[in-house]
Amino acid sequence: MNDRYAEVATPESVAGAAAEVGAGADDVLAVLIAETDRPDLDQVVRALRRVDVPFFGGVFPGVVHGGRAHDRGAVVVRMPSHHAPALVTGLDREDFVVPHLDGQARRDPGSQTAIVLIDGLAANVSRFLSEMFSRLGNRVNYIGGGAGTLDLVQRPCVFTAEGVYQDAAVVAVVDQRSTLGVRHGWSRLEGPIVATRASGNRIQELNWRNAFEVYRDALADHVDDEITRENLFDITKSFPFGIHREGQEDVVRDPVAVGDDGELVCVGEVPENAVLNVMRGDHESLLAAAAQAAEESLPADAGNLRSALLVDCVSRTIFLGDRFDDELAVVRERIARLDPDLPLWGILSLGEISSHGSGYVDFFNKTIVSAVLHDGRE
Amino acid sequence: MTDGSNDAGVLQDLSVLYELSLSVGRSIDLDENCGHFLRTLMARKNLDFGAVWLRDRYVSGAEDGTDLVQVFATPDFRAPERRIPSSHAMVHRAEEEPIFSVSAGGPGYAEIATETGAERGTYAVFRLGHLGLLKLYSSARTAPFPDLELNKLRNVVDKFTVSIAGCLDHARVRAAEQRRRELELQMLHAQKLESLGLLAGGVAHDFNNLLTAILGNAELARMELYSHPAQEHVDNIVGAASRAAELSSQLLAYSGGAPLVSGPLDLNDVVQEMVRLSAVTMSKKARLTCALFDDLPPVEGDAGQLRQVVMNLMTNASESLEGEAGDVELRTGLLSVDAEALAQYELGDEREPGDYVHLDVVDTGCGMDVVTRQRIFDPFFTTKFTGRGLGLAALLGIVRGHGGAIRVRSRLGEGTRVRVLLPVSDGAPRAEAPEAAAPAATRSEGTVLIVDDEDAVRLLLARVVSRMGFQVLTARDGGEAVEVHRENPGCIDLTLLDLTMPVMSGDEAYEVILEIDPSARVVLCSGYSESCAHERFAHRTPDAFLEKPFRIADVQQTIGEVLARRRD
Repeated sequence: MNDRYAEVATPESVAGAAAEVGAGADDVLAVLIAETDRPDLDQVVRALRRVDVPFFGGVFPGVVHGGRAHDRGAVVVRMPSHHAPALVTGLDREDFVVPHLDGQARRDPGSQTAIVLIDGLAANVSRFLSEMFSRLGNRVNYIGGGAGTLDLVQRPCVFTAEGVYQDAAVVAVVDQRSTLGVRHGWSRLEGPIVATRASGNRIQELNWRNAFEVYRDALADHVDDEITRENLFDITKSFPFGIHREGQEDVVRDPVAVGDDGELVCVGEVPENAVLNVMRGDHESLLAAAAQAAEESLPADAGNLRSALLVDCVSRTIFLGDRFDDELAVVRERIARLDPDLPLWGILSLGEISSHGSGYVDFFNKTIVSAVLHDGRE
Repeated sequence: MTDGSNDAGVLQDLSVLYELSLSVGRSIDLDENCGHFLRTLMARKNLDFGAVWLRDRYVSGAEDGTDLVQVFATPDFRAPERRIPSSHAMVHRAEEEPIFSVSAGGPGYAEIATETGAERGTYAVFRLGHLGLLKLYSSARTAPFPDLELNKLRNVVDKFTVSIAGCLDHARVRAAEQRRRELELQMLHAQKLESLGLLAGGVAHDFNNLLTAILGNAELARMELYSHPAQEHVDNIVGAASRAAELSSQLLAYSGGAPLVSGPLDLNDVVQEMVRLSAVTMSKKARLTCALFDDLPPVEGDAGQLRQVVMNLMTNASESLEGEAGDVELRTGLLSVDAEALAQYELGDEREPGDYVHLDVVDTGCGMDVVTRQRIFDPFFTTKFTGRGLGLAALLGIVRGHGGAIRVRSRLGEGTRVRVLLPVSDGAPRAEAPEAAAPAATRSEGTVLIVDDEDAVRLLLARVVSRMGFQVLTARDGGEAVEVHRENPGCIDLTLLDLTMPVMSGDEAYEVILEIDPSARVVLCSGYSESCAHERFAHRTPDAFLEKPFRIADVQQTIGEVLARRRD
């Protein structure tokens, strides 16, 4: 078996799961921990070091194993890789440095997959992805997501053998091909609205006015309750922003908090002067999108199938409520068409990362990314 | 973009153009300006690659730069080619069509698809006025960009062109300002070195006068205290004064005013001689190797000073090994050096491009950080517990005195490479003549005039010369010396003449003395170097030179030699 699930995440149980997957010198371990157990991550790292296999991981609002979501426990997955995961720290500063990753990627495009875990509340996520893409290019496919906890308090949340970090990302290039599907199912409701003053993941002004006030006014006709700072998150789970991208679904940005001066704090950057729309969705449109993403991730001509990796935004679980099980069910059903026994694992994330074919790698919100990892046909 | 046939479509187009328009000119820096615009354009238009190519003449300033240079590309990995000639098919086509698009399989696609992994897809190219080109690529499109879509982008690309022109102007102004600041710094540095040189030379000169008196009197006392218990103390005075004289000599070398006995010589000989002597000064763990160029042309130089250069560099290299095993390599060779290369050398701005003999001393020692490297030639700067920090400062003075230049390359932990350039000499190298045996300090007859404004020096010389058996006359400056000659026409066999004096200097007095007595014999004494001193004599030069501080034996030998030449 290449994967293990520990029902309770403790340093001992995580290290035990890591030892049981039987990883060797040419492997890397992905260690995904659900937030509820809150184990001491430094101790987890110390315990994993004793397994003597390169590893990377993070804490997430939830994890997926066996095709089901869990809000506690840990998933450990073994994947082939000839390189230790690369850690990038200091994403809160403008001068962070992305290492040269040239040696990690082979020349034949698409024969490897970069799994990227990042502090979901870091300020420069898009710039990091852009610089990483400039180094690795389209020789690999990209999939990953934002780490963190549902209380949206930023704290150290990604780790490698080097330690546990906040404002950091880790990139593991694994020797497996991948086929990706990316969808969200949200559509435009109100707009356009211009982000006339924005910096990183914070929008200070919309349409030259206080961002919170404009957002509140735009939704006045669509929600029954008055929108306040306190209930903002309950509202935004249903009404995120969308940024236009020609030929694709709008890129969703999720405002998750409001600052004292009315600035909206998003998961992921919003460029200044970007033209936004307020989006809306319903259960059916989101479930349809999940099915479509899973279908698009089925390879037409795969060799040995290895596993299916799901990165699903945690806000979709909140929005879908009880019907989130349906979302996982439609994904499981589509993946099972390919191979009923294919392991399905993943994360419930704060922001999702994926590339589009051979194109750009992007950071999404409220989106589902499905990947089937396989050996492909040479 | 949409076909603009409905309100929603127009609104969508305006939204994209609004954002694109505001992404132009967000920075006066070319790279940032291109980055803002292209990343926004690529994100909204879902493109895979964008690049800006500009004519080289606008980038490097080269007037004949017609090639196009890629100044920005994103993502960078797709752009293996950074320069294309103006004859390139893409440039030609853009000259005929300011905006065009071509898809894989279409005519001209293969010539334009220079990016990595662009076997399929579609390009759009916009001419950026006379500046260059904007190149966009989409891997998803299978048909050329529609004319309407390209036309919608036309105005915003024009705006981008104007912003690039502004960035280039700004870069030109900034480069000129930077160059001006560098020149100012170079000038300040040169002025500082010149001032320090003048100061060092002046101090050394005065110091030498004092040392002359100290050394001479101590030697006289030693003669008179033969077998006396106090002789040991006087010996200590002579020893300390001699070491002070060495220090003074290094100060003079730094100022470039050290005595220079110049002539063509083979630098390889100097290096080999120092290597033979190196056992004393080099670390036992240093592996010393030589790679000497066989057909090395001669250099014009002073063998003694060049020995000091080689020994100093070898010693520094050895010490940088810090007692650990390591390599020290000495290389010689011939280089043709242009102005650009000379600019990287200390003193390079004072030299002309041309052929130079070079000496390299390379070590694998501890190296230097930037701060140390910038200060190593400053006098009194040292990283050693012992030493006065004059070694490399003196070395720089010697190199200056030889018309050479020096460059030091080093990084902390990565060793040091020093290269000394010396101008090639036209003459053949001369073999060093064996030192002539000093004439015996026999008792002599005749009259010697001693001219020096320093009482102690004058008195000392009077005693020495008197002990040799000469009649002694004295003068305190050049004016007095001339008077003494006028009062004693044809009676003075030799004049010991100081150079720097009040009322009338030595060189002025010399000319008048020769008018009075054309056969007059004059030995010049100075704390400055012989070459510096000789520069002040227009026609005839004095018969000999005595460098201060001198030893009594030097005085006796010089007087003996000059008078012997007269008898011959």
